[in-house]
Amino acid sequence: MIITLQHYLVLSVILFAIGAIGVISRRNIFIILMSIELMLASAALAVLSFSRWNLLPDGKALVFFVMAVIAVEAAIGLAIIIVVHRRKKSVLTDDLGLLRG
Amino acid sequence: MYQILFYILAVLAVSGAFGMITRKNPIVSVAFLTISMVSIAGLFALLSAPFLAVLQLMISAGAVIVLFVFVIMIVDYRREESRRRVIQFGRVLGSAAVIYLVIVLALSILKPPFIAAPLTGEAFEMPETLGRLLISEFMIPFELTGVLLLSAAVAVILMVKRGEGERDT
Repeated sequence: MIITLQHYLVLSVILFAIGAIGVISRRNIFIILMSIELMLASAALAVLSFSRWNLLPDGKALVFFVMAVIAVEAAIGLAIIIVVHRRKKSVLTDDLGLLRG
Repeated sequence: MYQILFYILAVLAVSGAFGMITRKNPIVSVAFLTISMVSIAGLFALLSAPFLAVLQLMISAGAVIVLFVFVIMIVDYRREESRRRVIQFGRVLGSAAVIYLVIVLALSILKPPFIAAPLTGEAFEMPETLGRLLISEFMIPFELTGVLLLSAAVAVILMVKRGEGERDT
């Protein structure tokens, strides 16, 4: 049985769904950030498989930029976690109501 | 061979992701995320993008994971287990999303065309193609990525450092 585009897309959707479930149902900020990483990676996988099946190298450039965004997102997110943890002494989303006043 | 590799990597990626969102301890979650990211890098290599596979290994499975481990080490994370969640609404929303996705997937699987991957030339796989693309067609986004990385580094240092100063005074 050959591997088709659908295989890659289904895998990408499954990974994205797992990441989305992690973002929704967990309350540890670290796990939420990691789930966002996973969602970005699965989106990159989908873009790359489309690029492979259409023989367009542009998709690779897009994935390259996505990777830069992944790195930036992790750095900024973790810095925010450190700052919030200094103030609130917690990494759980239930305790972080800074913007609700 | 290709099929076996694909299925092994796919199972590893999904099980790593699943383990990541189910573990209590964030350090264990990071280990599972590493498994998942390495498998995704392998899938990139299968999609004839070896350069991006190496980049994925270095950035997502390397640098970001190390950063996570360091920050988890700095921050006290052990308090989650002791307290109950206030609302259980997240579980409901998550399972609704899962059911929706299963329906969408079932619909999409039933619709052909199922085409094997077209043959790639030598030029498609080579990193040179990507490099030439980045300095010709995607020149401005490429430069802006550099600016983004620089501003992120500056912002991170500023945020973390200012917080420390406030606490000291």
